[in-house]
Amino acid sequence: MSRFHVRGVFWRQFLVFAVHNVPVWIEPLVVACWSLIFLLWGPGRRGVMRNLKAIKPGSSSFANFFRCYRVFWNYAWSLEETTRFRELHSIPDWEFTGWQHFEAMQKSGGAILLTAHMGSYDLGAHLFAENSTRPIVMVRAPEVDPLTREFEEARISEKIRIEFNVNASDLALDLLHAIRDGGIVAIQGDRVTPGVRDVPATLFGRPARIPAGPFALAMAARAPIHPMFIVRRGRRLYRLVACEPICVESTRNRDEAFAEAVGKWTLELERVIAASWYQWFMFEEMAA
Amino acid sequence: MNAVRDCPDAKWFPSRYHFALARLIAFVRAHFPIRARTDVDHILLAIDDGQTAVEHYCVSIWLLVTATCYIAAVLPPRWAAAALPLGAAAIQLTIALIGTIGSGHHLRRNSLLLFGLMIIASAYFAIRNSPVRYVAWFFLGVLILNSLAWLTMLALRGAVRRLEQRCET
Repeated sequence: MSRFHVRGVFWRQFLVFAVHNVPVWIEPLVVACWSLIFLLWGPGRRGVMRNLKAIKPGSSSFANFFRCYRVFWNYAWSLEETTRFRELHSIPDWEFTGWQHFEAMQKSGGAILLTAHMGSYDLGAHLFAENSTRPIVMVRAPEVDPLTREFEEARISEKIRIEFNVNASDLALDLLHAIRDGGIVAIQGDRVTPGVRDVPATLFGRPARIPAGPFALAMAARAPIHPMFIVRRGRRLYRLVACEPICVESTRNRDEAFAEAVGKWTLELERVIAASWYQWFMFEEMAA
Repeated sequence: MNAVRDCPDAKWFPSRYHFALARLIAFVRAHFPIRARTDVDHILLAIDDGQTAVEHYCVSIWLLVTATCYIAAVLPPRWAAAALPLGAAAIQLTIALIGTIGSGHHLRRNSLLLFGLMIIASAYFAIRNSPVRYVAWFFLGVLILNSLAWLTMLALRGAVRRLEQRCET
């Protein structure tokens, strides 16, 4: 993969350079320009526009093009704010809703934190690390480009354990042990990456695929799933939305138990995405 | 990490603002009642001078408009439409070029250099006999106002310290 490809390492290095050189008061101009340039990324733009068509039925392609720019704009800000946090330790403002569910998760002996590609996964994980008494294990898809992967892995915080879902069976055992030891495993449950087992679901009336891992893990560990979302509310302002936990019953009818839990998860996912469509960073078509 | 928890008063702390003028406005606003948040369970506000959105959006737009006007003034009239993208590109190219000098982070140096260049350009256009001189005067006027606000904030530093102790536990 070329280092100048949209997922190439050059853009990550360039972002770090920008964070060290762009004064904060000119950031909005820089982010606006680069969001416009990245709108030339055809596959990403088309993926977002198709998803917007499903989220907002009856919406025109013309309006969705501008909505797509808003998604790219929010994504650029999220990347910038995460990099600024990593490089210069400047934290954003936070708001919390559903705090009782967050506390319940802290008190439970091991849990699964299920989230989506919204806001900043990294900033959220750092917030948990600061506020939680329990060890956090973050599961994420590895970068496609080896150089980008190397670059990102070199910048991983020591406070958080990150596992890349490359070998599903080995990872499942590690995560099971982490939960049984009282840890919290954070997983993104809105996108399936190649090689990951999935379950059928319905999102905004369309058939979609959801990762099966979090539900299988919850059943095996007898741990609840806590849906939580990091919603970007503005410049350097994020909201943590904690929802009611989902329990996956350990029954003989595994498929039925999964379907029920997946149904609850997609309901929460739809509710949050419908309200904050402009920051669902899903650049592939969800039904694909 | 410098942040305060569940203290809505911190929203208007001058330390959360970058420019002296914005700090002065925040200091005045902090003396008026602040509504408690009922839509969220808890808040965590960072005490960092790059935190506020309105201030930075305003400065960013203002600088872009000013640079666009200066570029439009030197371009032939039929190329005037190109002034906006050229203005945006000129600001970013300047940052990129000065950013390549030395290693480490240069936020303060680049900030001073960029404002320095804008002051030189404004001084040049302020004495021209064209409508762009109003843009230049406005730019220089805001800078003078900001300098006066800086002196005021210097005199008020004790009061600011006392104000910001509100959220200390």
